[in-house]
Amino acid sequence: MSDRLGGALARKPLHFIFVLDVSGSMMRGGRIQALNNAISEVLPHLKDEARANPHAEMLIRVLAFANEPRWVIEEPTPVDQIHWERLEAVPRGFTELGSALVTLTDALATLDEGTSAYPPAIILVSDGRPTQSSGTTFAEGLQALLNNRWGATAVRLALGVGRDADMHSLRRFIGDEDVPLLRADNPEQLVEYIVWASKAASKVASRPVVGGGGLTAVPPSPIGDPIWSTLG
Amino acid sequence: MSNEQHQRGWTVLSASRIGSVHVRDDLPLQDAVLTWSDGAQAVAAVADGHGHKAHFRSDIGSGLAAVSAVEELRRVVGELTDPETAGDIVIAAATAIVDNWATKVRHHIEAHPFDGSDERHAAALQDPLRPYGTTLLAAAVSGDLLVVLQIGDGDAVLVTDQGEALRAVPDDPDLDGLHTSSLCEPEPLRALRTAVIDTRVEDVALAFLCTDGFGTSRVDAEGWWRQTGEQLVEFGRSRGLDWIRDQLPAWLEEPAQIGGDDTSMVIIARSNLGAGAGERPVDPGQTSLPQPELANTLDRP
Repeated sequence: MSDRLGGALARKPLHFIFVLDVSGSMMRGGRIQALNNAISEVLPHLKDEARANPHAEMLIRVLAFANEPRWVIEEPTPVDQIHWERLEAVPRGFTELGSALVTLTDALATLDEGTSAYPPAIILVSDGRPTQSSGTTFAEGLQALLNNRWGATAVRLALGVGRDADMHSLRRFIGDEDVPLLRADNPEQLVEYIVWASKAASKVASRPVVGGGGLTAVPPSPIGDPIWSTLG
Repeated sequence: MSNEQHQRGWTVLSASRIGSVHVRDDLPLQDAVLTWSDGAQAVAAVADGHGHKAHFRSDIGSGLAAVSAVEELRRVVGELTDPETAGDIVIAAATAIVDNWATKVRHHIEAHPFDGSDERHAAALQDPLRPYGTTLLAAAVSGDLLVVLQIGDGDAVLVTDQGEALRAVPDDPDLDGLHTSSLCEPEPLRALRTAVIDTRVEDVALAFLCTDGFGTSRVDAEGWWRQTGEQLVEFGRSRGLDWIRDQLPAWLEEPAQIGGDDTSMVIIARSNLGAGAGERPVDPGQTSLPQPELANTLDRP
């Protein structure tokens, strides 16, 4: 009989999901390049977070959306196995965020089939107002997400990109009024905010209790000129 | 008489370990453990203070819960003589524990008032018990009669002489693995679960209570508690209760690291469970003396 009381232990998964807007407007002002750079830059930080949290197995997924949702990384993947391939924006693409949230909810439903896990961390990045050409409104997609127990308990963060970002919808996605809602107005800000959001989300989500401690990290101050909000 | 007394005695062991997330986030140990034993009777309590920011004094709350439980159960343990009356006794004890906990919390608030300038403290002014939110598991045994009470998550398990484990109390339908019932709720007794066990009839060799930190990271999510029970009886027989006492902190360290949460366990075992182990030849290199059985032990690192 093993001397370890209670049998083998395993780290619980921490599902980390980026939901990224690749609509047509992301082609303006170098936004899609900045988004790709931001994701590339955040990965080493997530590796550091994974090492700093021995109790959580950090698994990354990426869902892009424009006219329709598309998994960029569909299989939950350990962060040290991620090789980022650049995202392209969809010319004239819509912002079908409602459909994306339904697709996300379907993925979260599979978590119930597995062993226990931490509440997921979801980071939404978008530069426009949600459209509904697919027939699914943002409100319907959000309600589907919140009706799922993992979606409801997830650490949800959102970043707007540029002046056309629908901050009201992003605030509704976050839910918790205490959680900062940020808008990036230049490439440097987007990198810095995505890094900040990722580190804050991984710390909060990997606490062993729901909403443990809350998100108390202060977001970085804006740097550089707001070029994305001054373009004519 | 002395042999009979020895046969009927109970030994209580306990330990607690801070979780790795608490260390990372510079938070205190939020579990509390308190035990008492006079050899013939034993009382034990384990409480798990909530980690959410709304429960920012939960380390105090869990400590007060453990104290309230042991105080009350010590008061009534001598009355545990008849299975037919023990059920009412344990329910009355739980009611007193909840009331006494709330009283102790209010005394603590008087000594450490909330500061209205902090938003968490401002919210606490409206719901003063909430910052102290905690679960509670407690047990008392006298002679052959064992009672268990539980509010919130955690595990209370009985183990027979044959190493068969069974849950001591009914499941709480409100527990979903993410949220827990709490002493700070408006009506905490609605979440109360109790049990009265005749340990002779049920052939109980030991009971263990643990916070959810011990079990949540087990690969065998459904059966870890059965394995734990089987192991404890086997270890008790083959190596003795003192060996278990020595091992317990290390056994809790690993789930506290991998699971991230504080992890605590209390074991109430028949004192004669390890009697056979004592007959084995003593290791010539073994120079340590047996640890004395201390009353009112509070095991907090």
